[in-house]
Amino acid sequence: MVAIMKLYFIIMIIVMLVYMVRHIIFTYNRLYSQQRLSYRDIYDSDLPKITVLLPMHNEGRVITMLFDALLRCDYDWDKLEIIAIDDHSVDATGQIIDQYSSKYPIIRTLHRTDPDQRRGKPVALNEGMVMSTGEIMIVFDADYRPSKNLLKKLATAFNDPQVGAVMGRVIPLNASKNTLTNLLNLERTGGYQVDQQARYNMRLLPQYGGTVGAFRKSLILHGGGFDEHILAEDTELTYRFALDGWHIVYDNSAECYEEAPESWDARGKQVRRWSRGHNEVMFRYLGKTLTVNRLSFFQRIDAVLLLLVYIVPFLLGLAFLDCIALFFLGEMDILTGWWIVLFVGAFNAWGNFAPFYEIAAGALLDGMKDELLVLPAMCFSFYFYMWHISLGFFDAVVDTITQRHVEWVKTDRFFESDPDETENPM
Amino acid sequence: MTFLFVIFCIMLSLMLFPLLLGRYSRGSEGQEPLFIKVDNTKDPRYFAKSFREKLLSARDKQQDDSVLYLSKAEKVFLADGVELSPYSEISEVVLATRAPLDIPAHCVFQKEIYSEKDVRVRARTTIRALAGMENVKLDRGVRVVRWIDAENTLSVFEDCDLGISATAGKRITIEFGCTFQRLYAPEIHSGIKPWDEREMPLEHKADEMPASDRVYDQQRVPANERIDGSVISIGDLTLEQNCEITQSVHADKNLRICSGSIVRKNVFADGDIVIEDNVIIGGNVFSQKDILIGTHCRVGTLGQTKSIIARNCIALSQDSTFYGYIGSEMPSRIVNQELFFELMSNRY
Amino acid sequence: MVPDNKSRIFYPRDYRHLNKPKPRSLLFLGIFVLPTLCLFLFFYPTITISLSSWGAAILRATTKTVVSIESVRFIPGLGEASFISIEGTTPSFTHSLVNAIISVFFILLSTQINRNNRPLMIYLSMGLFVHLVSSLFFLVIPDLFPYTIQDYSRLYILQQIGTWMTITVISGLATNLVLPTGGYKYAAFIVTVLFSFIFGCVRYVIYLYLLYRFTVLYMAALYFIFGVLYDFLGMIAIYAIFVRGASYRMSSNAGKGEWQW
Repeated sequence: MVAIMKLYFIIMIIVMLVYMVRHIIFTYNRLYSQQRLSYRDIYDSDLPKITVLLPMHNEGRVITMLFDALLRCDYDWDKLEIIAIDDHSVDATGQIIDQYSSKYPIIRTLHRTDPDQRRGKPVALNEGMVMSTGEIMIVFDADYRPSKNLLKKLATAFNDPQVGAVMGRVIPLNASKNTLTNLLNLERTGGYQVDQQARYNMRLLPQYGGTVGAFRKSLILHGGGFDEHILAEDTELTYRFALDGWHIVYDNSAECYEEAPESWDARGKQVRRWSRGHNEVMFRYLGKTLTVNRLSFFQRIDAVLLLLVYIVPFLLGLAFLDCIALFFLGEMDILTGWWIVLFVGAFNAWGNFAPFYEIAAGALLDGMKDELLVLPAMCFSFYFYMWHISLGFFDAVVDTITQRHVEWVKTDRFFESDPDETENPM
Repeated sequence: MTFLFVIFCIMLSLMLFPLLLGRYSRGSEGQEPLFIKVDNTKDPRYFAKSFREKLLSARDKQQDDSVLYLSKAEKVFLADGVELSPYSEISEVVLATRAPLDIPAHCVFQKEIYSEKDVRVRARTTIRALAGMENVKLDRGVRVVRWIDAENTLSVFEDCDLGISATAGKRITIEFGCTFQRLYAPEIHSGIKPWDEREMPLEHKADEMPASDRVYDQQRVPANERIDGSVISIGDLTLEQNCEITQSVHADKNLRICSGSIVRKNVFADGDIVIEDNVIIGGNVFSQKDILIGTHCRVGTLGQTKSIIARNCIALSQDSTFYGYIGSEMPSRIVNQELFFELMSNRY
Repeated sequence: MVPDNKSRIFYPRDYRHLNKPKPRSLLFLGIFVLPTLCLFLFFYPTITISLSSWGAAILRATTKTVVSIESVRFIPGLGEASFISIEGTTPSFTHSLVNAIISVFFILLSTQINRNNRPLMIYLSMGLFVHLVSSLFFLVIPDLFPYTIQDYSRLYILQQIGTWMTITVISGLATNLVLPTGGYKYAAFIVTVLFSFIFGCVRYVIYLYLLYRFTVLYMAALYFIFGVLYDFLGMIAIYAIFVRGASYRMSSNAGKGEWQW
């Protein structure tokens, strides 16, 4: 028994070191290599018809800002369609989208009000896609603020017949609100500016993130639409496309403001939901990822490591308990030195979805300065994530075993738009 | 005991200082989110338009004819009626509003030039930037440091260096030996006379195809073959002579399109793209490395803007036509047939 | 004379990168990191005997017990590591019970207060959990507790040597990876190693005193919750300070030229 516990400890050290090496490679690539050209440099007067899908549930506080931003975009309105999906809202969401729809013909509405209907983002997107006329779908969450040329940047990538989906970069607008938003800002910087871009440079597997992203409608509909039983429809799309040979592209210049959660409670629920959804995808796709022949060797490794991203904190938590048990069993001798390596490796490689040097590299590239001083606080949020991700993992295990109905819960909003300040972009 | 207390304080300080750093950071002012230019719209003629806007606005407010306030106060050289001599060096912003501007050879202009009439720049002159409201002609060996723009036609003779950006509102003609980084015009012709005699064969409109219309994992398309759909290769790809692809082409490595072929939509490759003579591409050409385009080719469609983009260099042969934008990260050039074959043979 | 050569366009943050580090940047690893690593690796007997002597002197002056220095084999062929040996006490039943009750109380309290979801609360809850386990251990099977204060002292020293070496390597790699300019790199590394060394030394003495004064009941908490994490905190804090400085420099006119597109 003790031998098994020690072996587990050593295996976790190796896993952590693998992630550490991965992130060092990503950091080096992003900082020092020539960056892969983005499709955004293409000038094309003949862009495809796009549909912007806006799934919403009780987003009355924020949606006017999103609508106004979209209506200011420089995409040709003859080729633009916006479908606002009111998904069982009980606030003013339905009325607001009706107001916009009556004023702007490019905005169409989909009211999902039947209480017997299944609720949730995947379902809403599926219904939105069915009624859409565009060939490319672009999805935004309600708290996003796209810039004027963002739609063009995302749509241009689909000139490439190999591209199945595009992901842009998310930047917290409320970064300086409190310590949490500061930390999230740093996380995003490491995750997008370094991690995603390096994976794009190295032709690995950038992840489609479900918002500020676009995908080919035909591909999803061809596969029966989004799986309504999976919370992380974005991760599922990533693997569905990648295993079928389609490219997921990351565009570092396609930046969009978002509202980061401002309370730890909201963040915890969000992370738990992400973990649950991601692990559901992991259970479904791990085997296929290991055996499919459409991925190169390195793509396959990266794809597997990405799939395991939301189970590793749980395994680390187990390793922590393992260490405690070994401690009380008097086995700390063997662990001396190893313990530090595990801890160091865990924080290095795992930390908070991006290790500290990756975040530092991203901050340097972004020109961040004082924001970096919050970096040590990430040591404690490591425990926070370990806890909530582990809960999400358990949720996913139960979901998979019992095939239970998954209830969609969206992240709390904190922004508030003033309806009196709605602008007319035309 | 006191000493122990001191050590305890040192330990506590060292433990707490990382957390206090965060407090300091939170207290510092001016922490804005990362700036995104939310109103930014991409425009290939941005330099010229921005300059014109500033200049015209400055002229409206101008009180002294010899000074203009652009980004800062700039001395002005009024070129109307002034005859410059060769080998002149002008360090002011040059304005020509009433008569065509004829810039002699071997001159150096350290600031921008603005002309509301035709401009001719004689051989071996160096200019920093030029905005012409009508036609602009560059003689042999002219060097542009930053950008050049003509509202109508930009004609560029041999061995010119077009700097970072050369744009025109109607047409650019550009001859052998010229180097450039970005070109933009509704029509761009490499060579003396415009060549566009070959029409795109009539075809049904190439709409968005369903996912199943990809021809996947192809290494070559045989000569005279017609493929209805897109062609994808995870390695190198060769389209042999006179084949036709009704949609787009993508190669994960190098792509070669042999003479006489037609691709109705776009061409993408992670490696080099070599397009031989007499090829028609209806859409964009995009490479993460180099692009070589042979003679009598056509890229793009009249009336539309399409792009040729390379991460490294682009080599365009003479007597080809392009509609829209050509951009590379490294200096690109117009080559003759001999040089084109040499460049091509280095890759095969 | 040609016009000023503003022939480059500076793209924003999405494309820019730095020049690949020249081979001579590896000199940093050779001149600083490797020697420091070797210092800890080959001179740990000297370091630990000095540390133990210093700590023992302080503990002798502040405690009323016998304090001596012992040694243990660490890396074969490289000598023995010295550590402080001090008499400790095991907690009484009452002491363990009180600690267990307090731990349970605070764990329950943490689930009730509205800040229970915050990272610090989770971290402290984990610490309380470890302490609760320790308290229960001493309540139920106190004789089976496998460590004495001497064992802690020994384990601490061995772990600390490993920590110093690991911090040296991690700090060296991380600074060489991200900090492009020589000055920041060297300064960050030196300050980090010094921080880790000084912190390790003072913590050793203080923790031994705490265990002597308040019994080995607290050993688990000191080891797992107040241990290596703080070495890391310090390393990252120092790293952040220097990267911040580098960022200021890279945004200035002096540093802008280092960016490539």
